Amino acid sequence: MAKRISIAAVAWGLAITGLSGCRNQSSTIAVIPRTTATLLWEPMHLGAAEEARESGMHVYWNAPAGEGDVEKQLNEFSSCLARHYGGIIFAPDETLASRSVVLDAVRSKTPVVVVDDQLGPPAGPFLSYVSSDEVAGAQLAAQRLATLLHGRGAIAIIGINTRLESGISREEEFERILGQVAPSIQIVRRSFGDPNVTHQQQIAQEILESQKVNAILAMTGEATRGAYFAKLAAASPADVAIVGFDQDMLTPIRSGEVDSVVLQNTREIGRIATANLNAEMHGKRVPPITLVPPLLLTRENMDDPQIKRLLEFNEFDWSEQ
Amino acid sequence: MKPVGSTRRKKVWLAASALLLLSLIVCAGLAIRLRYRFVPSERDLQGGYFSRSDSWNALGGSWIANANGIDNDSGERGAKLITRAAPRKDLQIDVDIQIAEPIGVAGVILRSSGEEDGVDAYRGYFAGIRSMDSSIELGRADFGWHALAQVALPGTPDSQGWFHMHVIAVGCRLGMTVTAPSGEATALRVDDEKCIRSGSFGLRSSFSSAKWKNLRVTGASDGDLAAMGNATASTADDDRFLLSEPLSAKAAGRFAASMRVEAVKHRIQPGATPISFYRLLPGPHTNVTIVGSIISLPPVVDIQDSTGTILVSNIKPDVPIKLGDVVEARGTLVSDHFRSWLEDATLRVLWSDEPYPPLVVTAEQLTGGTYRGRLIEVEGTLISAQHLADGYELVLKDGDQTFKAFGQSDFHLDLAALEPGSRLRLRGNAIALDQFTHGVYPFTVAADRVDLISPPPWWSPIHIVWLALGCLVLAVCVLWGLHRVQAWHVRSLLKEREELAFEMHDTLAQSFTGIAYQLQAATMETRGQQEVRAHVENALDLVRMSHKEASRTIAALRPQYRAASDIVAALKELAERLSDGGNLHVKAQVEGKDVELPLTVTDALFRIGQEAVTNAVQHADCRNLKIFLALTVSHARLIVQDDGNGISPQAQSNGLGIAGMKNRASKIKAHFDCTTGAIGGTCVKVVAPLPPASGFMSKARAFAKAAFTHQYLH
Repeated sequence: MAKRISIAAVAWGLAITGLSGCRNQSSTIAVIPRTTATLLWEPMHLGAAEEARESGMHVYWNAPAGEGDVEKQLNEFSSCLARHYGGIIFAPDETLASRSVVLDAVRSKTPVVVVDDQLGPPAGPFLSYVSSDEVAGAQLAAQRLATLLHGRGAIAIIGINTRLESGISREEEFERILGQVAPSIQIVRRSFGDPNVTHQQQIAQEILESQKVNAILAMTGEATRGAYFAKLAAASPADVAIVGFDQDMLTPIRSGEVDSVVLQNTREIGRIATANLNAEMHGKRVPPITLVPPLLLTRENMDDPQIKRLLEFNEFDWSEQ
Repeated sequence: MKPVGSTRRKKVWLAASALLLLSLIVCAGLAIRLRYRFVPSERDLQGGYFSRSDSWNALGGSWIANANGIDNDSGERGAKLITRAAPRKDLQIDVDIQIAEPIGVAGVILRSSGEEDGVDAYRGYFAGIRSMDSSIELGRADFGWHALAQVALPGTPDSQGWFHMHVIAVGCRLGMTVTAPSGEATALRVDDEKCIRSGSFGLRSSFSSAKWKNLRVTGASDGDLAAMGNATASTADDDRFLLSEPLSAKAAGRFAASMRVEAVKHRIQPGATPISFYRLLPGPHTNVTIVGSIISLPPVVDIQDSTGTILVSNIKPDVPIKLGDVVEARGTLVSDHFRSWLEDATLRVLWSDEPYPPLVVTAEQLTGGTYRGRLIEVEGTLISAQHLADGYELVLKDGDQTFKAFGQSDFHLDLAALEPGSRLRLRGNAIALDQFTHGVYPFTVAADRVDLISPPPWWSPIHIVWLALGCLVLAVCVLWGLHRVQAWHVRSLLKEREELAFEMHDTLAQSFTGIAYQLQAATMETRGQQEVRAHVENALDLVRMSHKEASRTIAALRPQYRAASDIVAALKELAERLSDGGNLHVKAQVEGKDVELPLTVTDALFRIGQEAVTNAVQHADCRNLKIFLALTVSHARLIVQDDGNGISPQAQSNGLGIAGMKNRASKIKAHFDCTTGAIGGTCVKVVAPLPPASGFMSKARAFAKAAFTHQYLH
């Protein structure tokens, strides 16, 4: 009888062990950008995967197919939370909509690193921020426009992203710095942004056809692409410079249709965010906010090593992430 | 002869094991059936099989099957349609592909697993045709894209032309050939060292709607790969891509040309009038042009722009349209009672786009009319579902409102899997026209997408019946278990009583017989007083012996000797009592972790030790006695050693005491040994095996005991 009880006890123990094995190992972290397979976000994938590999962790990487799909992104976050990953790196699509789910994760003691936005809740034991330095980015854009227009002229700002705190501060900082570096440049039009490229193209088309501006500043990747498309589709070539934010395409930079783009160093953002998450997972303190300097991509510096570094994700073997 | 009870128990265990095995097989079969609802044979994987909605799992996109093949009407990046057929290893896929837009990618996925919503959210290979730079590519996704090879196509893709793709995967070698509408073929081959060896297959597209037809999946061999030709992998920089755009200046020219075509299509169309413009101007207005997005397909075509929506009737020509298409519609706009519609309209598709984001409303809000004619999302609980020839009809309820919905079958909706009581979310256009509501429902939703939010709640009547039956079965099982425990307990008691009876028969009963014999002899003795006295003294000796025997039996039946150290302590106490103040020196020692031993082992060890101690003290006249118990995980070893007179070889072979000890040792499968030295002294050694989990059980008992003590003492 004792033997039977012992066998039953061993079987029960094995069953319990097996069931506990169904949980994801805490050495896997989830990284949820706004979307995947773009020039903006794949470098972050690379940075996170490299840092995770060095730290002996694995990365689950996924996001909605289209930027701006808040519902799907929040579902993805909740799904990752339910899978008990060791921590989550999250680039919110919308600041306000994302607060609740992030705070839920923090309450359940899942470390979260928010990238490219200031969500609102202060950093703490399970929450920290890593972002591109928007002040430095605005400085790069303002100085580039001042150089292109020789300190005078008229510009239009398109693609102002009010869904994100970082989008609002980016625009505010730009106007503040432009007033300092080139007070004679007038902002004659401002328009809001959305992830719809066609909509951004049609806004840019109206601006180009009005012939009242010397340059367009596009505050997002979609707005930059929209401005580029508007220029391509124009009946007559418009001598309007386009300066954009957030890397989206290289072809228009190479051809000169887009003058320059303020790049987020998302590879470094991904690396730092993963390192911070790893530290938080082990109960260590990390800086509440880390700002990563952006870069200015122009036709002249396209082949610089620091720019090329951002594009090395093309060669990475993702099967081992 | 084996006891009847033992045979019956074996049969019961055999039947129970067979039942358990059968249950496991049934569960595994159900699990496999749920995972792969259809595991068709190879010849099934063509033609009709692919047009069944239950053959596929759609992840993103807007997939429909028609007589010609499968369409994805969405430009969503990385939209996937994955087969539910079983995973395959070596295979070849033949399919014709058409890409609608100048910027687009479409192809097939093979050896895929772990698919999720998301652009590269799967582990597998993708072979695709790219219209944006007129090229083909073969690469691998592991939730991140890694291109293995790309080659430029000879001409510019024609949006109306069909490409034929042939993909082969054998072992770690993959190859693809794409034949353009012009008949020119382009091939490439790659070797992936750490390849994915098996998985599902599927269809995938990005940036553009696309069509697939004549899909055929068969097995493949080295010969098939060899027959493909000597195409080599192209890794030259000229043809490398960075995600969607080429890296080289040469290919960038083709890419920029495609971008220009796309950009021109998306320009603002001159002369368009906002939809709401004529709403407050009653009467017909001829030659009105509006530009908007299709939010509802025939029988009710609805166009929406940023100012409102408008119904379009009598469309000419009969152009194929899909949801999200941005169209230019020209015709006579009629405005009446603050409603407007476009009659005799000519439509021109400008470009394909995603539909406007729907407004999320309740059924109650829809009855008000404010949101009628708009693209909406509404939830409801399914009352009934009905298959129609070309689609489905649903009746739902939300709050107090009951409404109807209809739509065309697609891969998102498995109507057979919908159960009444399920909560559904519908996206579409709410219509209040009588021809759709039949005067019964407040509105009807022309749905283009139906998502299951949650299945019916578990407390449906049938589930409650199942639960009750389950409880009943469980109760029966518990009762059966209790009955088995009680039967086992009774069997144990009877066995113990039987052993006790044997013990009494062997000791006390025999002694009483002897005493009676001696006393009877004394009464019958005629030889003299001395002989009578001798008989009485013999009887008294027998009484003393019987008393000792009874004392030993009672001592053995005491339940306190469970822990190993208790046995040794009891034997030491026995030796000291027997020596009765003599100069016997007793040394007792326990080596190893003191644990509770099984009852049978404890009993046997004590009884053997008791016999050995008694022999040493009463018969061997020893001065030193050593009692030693060693415990390991697998064995318990008891040694009783004295320095007395020893036992003669005759006594060893014929003595009843030693035979009894051997008998007790054999009952617990222990090794027994009794030796006498050349100059005297006896060593009795018994090594008993312990069950594998006796330590665990001992700990469990100790834990339970501690918990019990803690509960009642604190």
